[in-house]
Amino acid sequence: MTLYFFYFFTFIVILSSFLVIFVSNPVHSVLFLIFTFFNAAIIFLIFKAEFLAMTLLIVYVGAVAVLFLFVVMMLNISESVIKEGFLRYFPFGLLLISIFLIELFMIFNSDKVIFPENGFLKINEIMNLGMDNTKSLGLFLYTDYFIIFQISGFLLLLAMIGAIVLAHSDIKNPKSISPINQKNVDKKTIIKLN
Amino acid sequence: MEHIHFLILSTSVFAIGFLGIFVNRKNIITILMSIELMLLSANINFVGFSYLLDDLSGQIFSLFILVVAAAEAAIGLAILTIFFKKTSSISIDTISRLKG
Amino acid sequence: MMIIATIFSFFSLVFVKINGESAIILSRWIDSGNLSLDWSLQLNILTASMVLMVNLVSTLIHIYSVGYMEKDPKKILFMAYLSLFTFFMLFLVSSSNLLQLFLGWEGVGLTSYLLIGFWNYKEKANNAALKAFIVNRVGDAGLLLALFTTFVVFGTLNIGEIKLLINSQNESYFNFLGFDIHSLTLISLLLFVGCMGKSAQFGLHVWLPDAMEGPTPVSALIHAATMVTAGVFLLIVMSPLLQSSEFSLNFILIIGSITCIFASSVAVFQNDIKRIIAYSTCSQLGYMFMAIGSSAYTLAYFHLLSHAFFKALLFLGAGSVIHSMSDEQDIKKMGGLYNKIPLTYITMLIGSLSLIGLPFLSGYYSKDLILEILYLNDFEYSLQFFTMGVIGVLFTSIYTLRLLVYVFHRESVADEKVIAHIHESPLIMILPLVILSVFAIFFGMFMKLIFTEINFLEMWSYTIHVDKSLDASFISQNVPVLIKKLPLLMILIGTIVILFLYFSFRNLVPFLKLRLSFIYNFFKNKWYVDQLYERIFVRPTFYFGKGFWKSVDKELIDNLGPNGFSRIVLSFSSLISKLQSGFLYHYVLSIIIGLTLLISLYTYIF
Repeated sequence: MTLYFFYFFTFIVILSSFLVIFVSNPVHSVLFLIFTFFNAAIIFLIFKAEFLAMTLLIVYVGAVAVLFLFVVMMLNISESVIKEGFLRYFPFGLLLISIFLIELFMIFNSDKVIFPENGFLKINEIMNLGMDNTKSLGLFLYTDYFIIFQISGFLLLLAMIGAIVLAHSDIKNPKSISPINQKNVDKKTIIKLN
Repeated sequence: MEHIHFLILSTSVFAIGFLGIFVNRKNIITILMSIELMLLSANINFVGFSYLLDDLSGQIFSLFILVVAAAEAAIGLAILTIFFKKTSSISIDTISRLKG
Repeated sequence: MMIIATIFSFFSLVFVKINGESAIILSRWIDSGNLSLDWSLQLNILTASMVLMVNLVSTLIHIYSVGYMEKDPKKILFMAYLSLFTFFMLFLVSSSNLLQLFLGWEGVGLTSYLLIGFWNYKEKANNAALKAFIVNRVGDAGLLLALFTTFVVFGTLNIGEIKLLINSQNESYFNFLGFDIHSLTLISLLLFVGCMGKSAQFGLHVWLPDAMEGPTPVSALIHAATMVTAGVFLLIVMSPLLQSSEFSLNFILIIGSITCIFASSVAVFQNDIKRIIAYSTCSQLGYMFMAIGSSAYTLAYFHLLSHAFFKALLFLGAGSVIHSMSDEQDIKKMGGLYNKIPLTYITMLIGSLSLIGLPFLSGYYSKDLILEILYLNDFEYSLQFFTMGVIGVLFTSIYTLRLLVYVFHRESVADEKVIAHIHESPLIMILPLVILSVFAIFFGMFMKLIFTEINFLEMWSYTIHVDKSLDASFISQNVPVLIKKLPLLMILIGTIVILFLYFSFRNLVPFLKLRLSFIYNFFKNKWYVDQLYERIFVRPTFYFGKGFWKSVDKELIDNLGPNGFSRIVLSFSSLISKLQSGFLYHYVLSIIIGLTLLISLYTYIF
């Protein structure tokens, strides 16, 4: 039963991701991206990664995709220009990609892919201890992977600062009052309301 | 469930992402979205193997990939807005500053 | 500093006298495979006495140079070079292995080059320096080959070890192009080629007269007393090796005698005061090699030492004369100086007479002993060699007296201005002259015993090969009185000739010059050796080099090498930079292609 579910959602993911790059309207494209992520989240659920599925929804659908949508709407791009030359490059690209894919599938089918016998953090054992997915993730994230976790936090901070610095522009004559000027006010020059 | 199933899924998504970068020449936003797709394919791989091998570390790493993807999207979009401000287009045909 | 060094070297000689031979190893130098060499100081009677001589002479010349180079702007550099030379010379003398010796050898060559070309604003000086360096290179190549051969044959470069191994290698042969060559003969011949270069023997002598372009103290130190005798010293050190090869000894004898005759005959016709003395040095070195060729190593060494003193004296005296004549070197423009610079005159006279070999001066003892040994030698042609040596004595007396007459006794022909300026050199220059003349007078008299007495020969024989027949009593018994007095007779003849020509029949000289112009020119132009070399070696090399420079270097190597590479890099990089389109999708394309290729590689090959 789960397998059929998996096939179904796989199909939807592939199709919708195709549409992401195919549709001419960027807004539609972003919407398809959201749909793709939504279905990917369901696949994650099938893989019993509940926390990740929810994170994917919150982070991508809730934040990143909306950001995309925001930008797309803000920029206001004409459709006709965007699709120019698409058909010219598409066959060649498809050819290359299909060679690439066929080669990969050949490898997957061959017996050259070797998997390790048992994992490092056994999910079953953890589950047997009475922990759910989120709790066990938290347990390892805050202990074994603590430093990486911190670094990724810094990475996000960096990205935030970077985005602000990049997008920030010096506007002449801003309407807000400079805090320095505000502090330097003295008694004589201040405007009095009688 | 065998490994081939989610591998086909992830490679397909990855290939589509690649194709998106290659084919779209007038739209940086689609390219950014393609990158998101490629990162998603990596995520699917991690989670799939985590399920297959009964190992939690795959999920943890995919969490980190999410972080990177979010950071990348933020920076990329910021760059995109400045770029649009300067050239009033989002076509990468016009960017060839790295030309040797 | 130098004086202290001299005193210490005297102590070291005493030390050797008491303790016998020893080698002080300073530190390990090379340790590679079979080759292991040390930085070391060899202490034996030979090296210690040589060190004493080098230190003594160079101390005196250092002192002299202070006065001589007083007005030169580069005098500090000059003193530095001089000290560097002394260092290298001591290095050469005191080494206990051949490679260290070679290092000192090259070092003295280098300093010689630097000092000959010291006045580098003179084109002649530069040319002379270059000539000296290049001619020495020929000899050095020989020495280097000798070193290689020694290492191949003996497996060591340590002099002491080589001496021990000589007998075991007596029958070893080299196969070269199908010829079997006696290896010891080969080594000693190659060594001699090296010595020919450094000691200016006939064939490679051409650099020495030209080297007189350098400052006079340099000529005295390097090109008379020490460096040029390095070749003789090397052969003396390697005497047991030479002794095992009859052929090379004969070769040395022949070359030595040719040099002796050649140089002394050319010296007669030169006009430059320093050139005359230079040729005289050359001929005296010829005597030393003759002594070596007839296995009389101690006598060669004896002559080396006494020659160092009187030749340094002569050069310094000449320097003093030049100094007082306002840098005039042509003896034809001098004259009548004997009462103007009396001290220089006296010391020069002592040096000259010692050089001629007037009895009881040091030159007499050493040179006459060599001649007697030549006579006694049991070679087939020993009489002929003896004759050549005696003729050499004749020429020596002629040119020396000619020099004295021209410089000191004739009426002056110099300019008024120069004459007015003639003055005795300062004390600091005279003092070394006086000390050296003391040595020139008494050295031979006192040291004769050490080199000839049988008991002392015993002492030498630890270090160098000594023939028992060199004993003084043996010599005196076997040499007829006539032979013994023959050199003296020759000196007398020479004196008479000179006095005859320059005082009684002065008109005869230009007449003879005209009549015998062919012979005159032959000697005047130094047997045309320089011209011959110019024709045979220099010009073809020049044209060859020019041709190579144009065809090979400029066309081939430059085009393939630097220029070609830069061109290739440029074109290739411009080609590569075309790949760098700057468009994102091109990069993506290349990534995909590369990835695909990698995967197919993985699929099909592994």
